Amino acid sequence: MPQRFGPVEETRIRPSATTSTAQFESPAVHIGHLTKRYGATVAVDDLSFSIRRGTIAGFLGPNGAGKTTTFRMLVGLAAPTSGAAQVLGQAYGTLRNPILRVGAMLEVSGYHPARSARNHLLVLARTADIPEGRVDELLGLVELDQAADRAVGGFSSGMRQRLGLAASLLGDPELLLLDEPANGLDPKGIRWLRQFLRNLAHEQGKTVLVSSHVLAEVAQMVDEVVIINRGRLITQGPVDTVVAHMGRTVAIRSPDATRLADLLTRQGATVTRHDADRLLVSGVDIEEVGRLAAVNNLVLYELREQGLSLEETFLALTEPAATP
Amino acid sequence: MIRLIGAELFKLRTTRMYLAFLAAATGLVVLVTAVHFLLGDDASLTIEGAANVIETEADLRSVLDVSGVAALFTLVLGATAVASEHRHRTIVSTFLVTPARGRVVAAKVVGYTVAGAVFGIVVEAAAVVVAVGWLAVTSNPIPFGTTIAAVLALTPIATGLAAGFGVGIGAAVPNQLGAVLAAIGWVMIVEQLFAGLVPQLAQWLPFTGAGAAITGLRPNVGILTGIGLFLAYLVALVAVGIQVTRRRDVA
Repeated sequence: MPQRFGPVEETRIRPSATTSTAQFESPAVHIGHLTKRYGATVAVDDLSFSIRRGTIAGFLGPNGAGKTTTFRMLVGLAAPTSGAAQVLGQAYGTLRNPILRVGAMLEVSGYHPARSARNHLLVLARTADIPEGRVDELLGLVELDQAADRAVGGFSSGMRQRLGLAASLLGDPELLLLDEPANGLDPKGIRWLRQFLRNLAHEQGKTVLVSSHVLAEVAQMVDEVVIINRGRLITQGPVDTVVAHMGRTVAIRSPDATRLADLLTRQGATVTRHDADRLLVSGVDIEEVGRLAAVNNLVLYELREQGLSLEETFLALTEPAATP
Repeated sequence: MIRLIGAELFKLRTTRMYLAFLAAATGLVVLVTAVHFLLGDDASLTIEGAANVIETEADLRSVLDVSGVAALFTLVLGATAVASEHRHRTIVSTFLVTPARGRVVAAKVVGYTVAGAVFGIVVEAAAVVVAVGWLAVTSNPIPFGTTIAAVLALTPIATGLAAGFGVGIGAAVPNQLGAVLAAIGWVMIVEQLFAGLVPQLAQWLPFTGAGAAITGLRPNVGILTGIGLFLAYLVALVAVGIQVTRRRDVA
């Protein structure tokens, strides 16, 4: 599979719209105090973040966090209740022939079941005045060339995802917005997608905002993450920084756990008691725990520092208790 | 705009919907016309208002005017134009490529009007083949004249405009079943009720009035008046459809 993907260079389609200096300097994606309400339900709640050009960013949050709604507002499919959602310095709807500049693959998108994959792409290509050769090129790239003339109604979810990816790449855009692109892909397909998106961002200088509800799915390929929950921003930054921000903890197993917990609490540490002889401590160095145990003649069976895994960090950030 | 209209016609060509409607309408017209001739003097199954024996141009005209049934098909076809995109969620990619939703609806109206006119030509041709073929085989004279020529020329206009009207309904009622029921309900129930209860008003309604006038079935409403009146209804409906389409969040 990976052999088929690589730089898409055969057909270069340049934006027809002029790019002003202001637009060039603007972030690829700008979300400013964005809010979307549906009656009493707040789907997106005063959300603000920006993605600078040339980066690949993960847009993370559990199902129902507001990712798809944010994407829909970014591309003008839904109107914000308040706030701004801009791509390349302007509202999507004001871009001239937008798919030449922004490619979007949305979870809410669909296909006519009786239309073939090639014809689905041809409809878009003809509307946007994109050469028809580009359609076959992309069908080959996402390995749908053998199924190009089959009705999409018979496609597996993975094939539909690849067709959606091909559609988003049709105009060779400088910004890609991908909503849960790994859904329905097998592990091989997910690996292919990772390499493909990394290549787009790092070799071709494109900006990619890719959403997922599984951190591990995107952690290996993104430069930074934006984590949201219940429509609100939890944190944004490089993956390492986000994980480090959560701090490290010290795991202890000791027959004198009760006494040690008292001493550590007096030192200002946060102590969580797992069972009779196990403690999980944060806010104190591992060396300090060892010294305290030695000075007070307390027996230790186990003393180790543990960092939260990416997934634990993600879960911790997006669990209800972590919501600000 | 030309590209958009071309894309709409391409969408129609790449699914089976248009051909299925065309086959159904053509089959129905061929069947009814053939039965009309086969039954001869038996008036129980003949075309409403048509003479059993074709002797005059008016007799032949009554058999050949298939605009009513064909326009009902193109009306429903048009009603699915926007609604089926919502149903299959292809509206997402349509609006991603063309965020100006008013232009999308306008392109659909023009595209479906063209497709509806072609539809009318095919269905009308089928009726002509059966009627003229029957008369020729049975060695009857074919009373061809200007009123026949007018029906042949005006039927595609009626079916085309009905398709455009259907697009307007579908844009205003984006649910596919709702749009189809609204289109059929308007023509078959609402306008028929008006025709029965308030005939003076019915002659100015879109289908029993303006639509019928297009093919010369309203003696007191001219053909051009009928076309103008129908266009006025169509423009008003499409304006409503565009407003609904613009304001509605997608998916």
